[in-house]
Amino acid sequence: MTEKPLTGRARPDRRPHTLEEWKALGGYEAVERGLRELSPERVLDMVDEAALNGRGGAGFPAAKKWRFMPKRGAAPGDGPSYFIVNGDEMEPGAFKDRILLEALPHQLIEGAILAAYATHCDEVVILIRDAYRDAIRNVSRAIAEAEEAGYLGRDVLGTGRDLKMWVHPSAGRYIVGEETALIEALEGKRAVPRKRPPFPAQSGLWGRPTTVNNVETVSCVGPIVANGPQWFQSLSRTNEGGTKVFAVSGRVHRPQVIEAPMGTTARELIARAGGVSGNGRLRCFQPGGGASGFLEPDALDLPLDFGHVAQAGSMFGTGTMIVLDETACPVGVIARHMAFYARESCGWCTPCRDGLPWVAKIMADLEAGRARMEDLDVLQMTVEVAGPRGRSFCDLMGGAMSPLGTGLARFRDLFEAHVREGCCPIARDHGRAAA
Amino acid sequence: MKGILESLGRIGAKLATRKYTAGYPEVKPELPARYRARIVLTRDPDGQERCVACNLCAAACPVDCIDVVKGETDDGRWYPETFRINFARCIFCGFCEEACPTQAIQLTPDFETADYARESLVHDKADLLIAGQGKQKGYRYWSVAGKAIGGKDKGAAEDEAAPVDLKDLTP
Amino acid sequence: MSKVRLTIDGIEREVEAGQDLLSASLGLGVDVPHFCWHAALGSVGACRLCAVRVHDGAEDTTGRIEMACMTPVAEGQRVELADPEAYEMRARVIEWLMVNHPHDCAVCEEGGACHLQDMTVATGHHRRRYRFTKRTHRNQDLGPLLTHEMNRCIACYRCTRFYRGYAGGRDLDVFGAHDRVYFGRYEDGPLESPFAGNLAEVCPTGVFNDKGWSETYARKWDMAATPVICTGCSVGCNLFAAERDGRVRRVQNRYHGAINGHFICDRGRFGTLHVTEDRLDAARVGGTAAPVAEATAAARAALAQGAVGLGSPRASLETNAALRHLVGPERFFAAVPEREARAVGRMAAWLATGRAASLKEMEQADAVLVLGADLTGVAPRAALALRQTARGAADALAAEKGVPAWLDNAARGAGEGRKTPIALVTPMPDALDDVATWALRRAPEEIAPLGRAVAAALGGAAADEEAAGIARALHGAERPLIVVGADGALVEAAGALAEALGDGARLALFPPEANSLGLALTGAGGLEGAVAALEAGQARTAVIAEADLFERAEAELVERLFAAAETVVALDSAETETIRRADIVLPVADWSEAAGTFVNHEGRAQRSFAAVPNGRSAGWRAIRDLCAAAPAWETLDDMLAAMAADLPQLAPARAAAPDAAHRLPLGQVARAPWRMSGRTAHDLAGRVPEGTPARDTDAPLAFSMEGAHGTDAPPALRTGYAVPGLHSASAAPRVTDGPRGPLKAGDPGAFVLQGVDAPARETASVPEDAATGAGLIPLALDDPFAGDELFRRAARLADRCPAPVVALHPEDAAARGLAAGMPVAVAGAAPVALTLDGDVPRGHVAASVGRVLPRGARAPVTVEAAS
Repeated sequence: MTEKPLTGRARPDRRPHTLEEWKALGGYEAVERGLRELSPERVLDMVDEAALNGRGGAGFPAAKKWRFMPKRGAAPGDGPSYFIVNGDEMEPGAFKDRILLEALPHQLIEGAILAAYATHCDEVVILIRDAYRDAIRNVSRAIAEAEEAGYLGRDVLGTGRDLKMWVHPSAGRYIVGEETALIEALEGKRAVPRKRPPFPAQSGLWGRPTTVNNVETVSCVGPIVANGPQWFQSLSRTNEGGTKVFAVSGRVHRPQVIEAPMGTTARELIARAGGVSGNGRLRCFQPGGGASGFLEPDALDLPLDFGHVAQAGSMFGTGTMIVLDETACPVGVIARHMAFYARESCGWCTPCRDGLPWVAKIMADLEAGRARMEDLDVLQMTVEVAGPRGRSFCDLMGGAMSPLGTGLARFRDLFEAHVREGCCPIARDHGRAAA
Repeated sequence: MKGILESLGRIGAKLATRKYTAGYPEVKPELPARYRARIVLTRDPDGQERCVACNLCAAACPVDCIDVVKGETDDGRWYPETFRINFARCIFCGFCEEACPTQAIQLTPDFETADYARESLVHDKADLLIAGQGKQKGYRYWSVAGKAIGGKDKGAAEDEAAPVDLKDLTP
Repeated sequence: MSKVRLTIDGIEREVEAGQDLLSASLGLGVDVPHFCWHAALGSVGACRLCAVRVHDGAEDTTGRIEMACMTPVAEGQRVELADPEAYEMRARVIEWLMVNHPHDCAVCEEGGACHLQDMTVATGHHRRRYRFTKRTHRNQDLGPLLTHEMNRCIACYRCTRFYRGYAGGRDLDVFGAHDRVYFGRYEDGPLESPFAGNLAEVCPTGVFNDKGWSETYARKWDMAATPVICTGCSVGCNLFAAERDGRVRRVQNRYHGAINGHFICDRGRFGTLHVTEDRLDAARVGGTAAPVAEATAAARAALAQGAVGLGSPRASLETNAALRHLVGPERFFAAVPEREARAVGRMAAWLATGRAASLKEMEQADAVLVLGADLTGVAPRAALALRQTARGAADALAAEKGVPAWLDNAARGAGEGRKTPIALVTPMPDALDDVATWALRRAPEEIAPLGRAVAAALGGAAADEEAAGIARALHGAERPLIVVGADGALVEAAGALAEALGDGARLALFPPEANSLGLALTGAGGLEGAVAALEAGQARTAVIAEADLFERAEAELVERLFAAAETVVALDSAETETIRRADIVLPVADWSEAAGTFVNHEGRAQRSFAAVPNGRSAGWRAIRDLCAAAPAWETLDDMLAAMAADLPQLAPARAAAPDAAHRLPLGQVARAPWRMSGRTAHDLAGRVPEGTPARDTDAPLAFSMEGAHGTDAPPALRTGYAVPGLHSASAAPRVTDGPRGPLKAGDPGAFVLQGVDAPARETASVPEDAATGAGLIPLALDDPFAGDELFRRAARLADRCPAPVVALHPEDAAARGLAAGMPVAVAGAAPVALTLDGDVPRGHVAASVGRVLPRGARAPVTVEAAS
């Protein structure tokens, strides 16, 4: 259990526990203790001391985000404060929240109750992507059980506080995973991100103070309160606390979710996933899912956490790694990524809406051997002009430009070979599908 | 003194040189296609008038001698209901030809446009529109414009994708 | 307002604090390229075109690329437009927008006045390297007023932000995602909002345009523009009328910081075009066409027998003053019922107390009570202003959270949906109900009592829950506002409320027509006085200037006039029922052919100028020719001097605009732009010498291009914004003091109400016409599209007008054996299909003003099945 605090209690067939089963495994003790014995500030401080970084992609320290939330009655306006759990998980390569939602709903609910407590929230919305039907069902049932048991609803555990919690299935687009676009979607509007400032803690859902955190982040809160921040820190190899629910996919023999200490290396994870498949030799990998930059074998021993990966020029993101062997063409992988991001653009701002489809078309031509050298200039232009922070309205573009930018930087000759040779040289040489 | 004698000598030598006098009008001069004389309105490869009454020629004209009034056919084509040039004012600079985005208005090497009455120097479309494509062969503006016209639907121009189907639920 | 000092491209500037960097730059004349920002719609940061490099101060050596529209100004900021990366980014944004943009400029109406063209030139992008296909869209048929060409869309989102956010419309929205976003209606059909026409100016490309203009098309540079005043209602929005070849082609918004700002309504935008279609050109004597001289002579002869004159609330001050001079003050009346004349007179009295609210001040009110007026139908642009008033409370909450109002989407969200308290008390459901805190339905006779109850509650008396709640809201406000239309009892109630509320209170009083207030200031009594004079034999002739009596007064009264008058002389620009019935008819100029001064609802006199040359004579000139001893009124200024002598209270109206002798260093203000083309070929079929340009003796404006261009023209004489490089409506923010502030040189117009006495309280109760007799009491239904007598005749607007309405409460209908859809005649008028509506108060018949019942209808009427 202590090695894999988040996923250790999951059943192999992912069937969720009932409330009683969960309590038998130690569940809801943290909630009882937290709400009865600790103040909201203490719970927040514990999460702060635990050095829990948000697991949704940005890695923003959870407690720091929580500190922006006002106490009850302290914010202008009238109405509840909202805590939103982001279960949209649509980043290419990310499938780590799925198990937490399907198999461990009560763990999430515990964490959400404690998080709402620490941030003075009255209502919790768990947004789950529509495709995770089992998760929606399992979490909804668990909420009903928790309500019946008095952990939700009116005067929870005699604290005098009410707490509403419900599941909202998303309508199925990637951008809903962006926290402010998620808030817009909950308001019944088009899922277009908002500009910050104002931050959700100032003006969020319906203009009220709001905090949005990822499923995995929230799932950590129960164990932190139950076992203490020092324990959480001790699980990690670096100064970023806890374990991480990693995922490994792509050219590995056994793609899977792996819970391991923060700071675990790519070499270890790939080994646990059965090693590199294809021709067995690693060309490169994206440490954080489709929106992170490529790293090469020289980064195999890099401790994987937010700080180290950023320093290496990529992004830790969701910690869901995509592996390419030498027979997988990065150009093809990038082409597929660009097609995804182009299609998922919300259409609000110019560089993403009009720049990404152009990039996607060039990438398709590259794969098909129809591209020209000048096309590479357009790719480079897009990376330089639209990639940096603040150029587009949200970070979708920045994310999309990471694999493209690092791909162009590291594999330029491969791009040029596609043009010169009028085909994918890797597919041609290895006689199999490029990616 | 020497200079004067040199000049006189050079001039006097001309008395003995060969004269190249073209016997116009029996012998017409051979003029390059870009010679700026008579203005015509041309048609596209399908025989439809090229002018779309955009007014750029009128705007470019330094003497404001072109007057165009836009009309629109039932199938959406813009065309000049009126196209009038006052050749008493025209200076044959060719700015109108340079400005035209559809290759409609062109200056041709036909310089024999004199007339007896000033009034007949104001030419209308009937006087300007020719049957052919003039100097620019093969160009058809409507093939590259986005506006749909009869016989060319949305998505049917060069380099256009089929119109977006808003009811399509695929991403 | 505090200031901050910042540096733009190395030059130190001082700007007002609290605004965004883009607004500040534009106000300084620094042309930061932009699309999605709009002066009235705020900043949203969608287009990414306004990229600049911003350093936070001297220590910040790297700076960041930021969007100017989303960046608050700060002390010590250093902003660089010319930064190479910012310049590159702006050019790339244009390149991305050009990826799918159709090769349409030659056949696009927007060309030459297109913000996309201007921005493309501004950013320097000029070479296309995109080699793939363009996405295309099918268009929708959005009705008779606007075109729709979606290929051209650059997804700036201005249209939906205006239509939904600003104007409260529901049927236009954005569909789809990524590069397939589509802006349109859920299905083909006319756009419902009466402000939809503004899309033609709000859209920076050629997606939405004026459909009628497209049919009589001329490029913007080929049209002469004249500053005119809209005469469709009492608001008096400022317009540009664009003309070519003697024909008005298009009417657009002309910025006025206190009145219409950046937007006008569809009635004004499209109704003004009636002048191209619906003309009375020939004089008539005894029903047959006659030369003007003959008709004038006949009229003079009839006048010699004693005449009454009926001035019009839609005619200019000059025309009304001329008629008054012709017949004498004792014989000069208004072509409206006494009840209306009195009510408007009382409006003038209350406005003279200094409480008049402009539309701009309406927007700033923090509590509003609207008594009885269907603002959307009576003064549409004022209804649009009231929508902005409703945002005030939300903006205040947003400000508490540190979110500025200009950060539009964020401010709306942070405002938690709060609404400024607005109480709307009307008989029928109202288009503004969705912004009202109280949307109260009351029968017409109950509304004034409710107003008085609120006034009493303000004084501490007990009142019912609603009146008390409204009183509390008004009392707690710093800038309370009372809004009424032309009903005597309601005007008095409004006055009483304003007095009870004290100095901060404002009155927005909307008389029915463009110059109702001006006519009231001549002291003219109602139509009944004219009828009495005729019936008493004091006069034999009636002269009616520019009004159809049947539109404004009950048929019975009008028939009495026609019966009592031996000769009726009528002057007008279009064929009305009065013209048809008149004995002698003289055609006179419409709004586009002559200059005239009109007093709007706030008491602001504004001058409209002739948009087309060589038109029909102005009304006052035709009336001058009727005078036995022709007065020396040659020019408009002569007429204004005469008016000032006869009516000193109207003397301030002379200052509404500079007189005809006014000159700038380069001469008169030229209507035609420098680039106007075709001058030497135009209208010259078969001949060569060009004609002499027409002269305008009534204005310091030239019909030709000779004269002064540019922004140094006084604001009342502006023919355009004249900003180099900005040829569309997006140039307006460069000539204003702040995005929604006054014009830099001052908003034009001259207030005329200073001289009117402060009102004595009407202690005697205003005599209510007893609604006696069998029949149903008329309830006027105003309509934004169909509300004006002449404007509703414009063909495209007529297509858009809803069918005339006659509505009864189902029980009243059943009692009369009438069913829904049955053709019914109201007081014998033309049949209309009956509507059954539970909202119609019992005992009333709701009917379209002007098209079914005259505006002044008071007496109960019969409603019967039409044979």
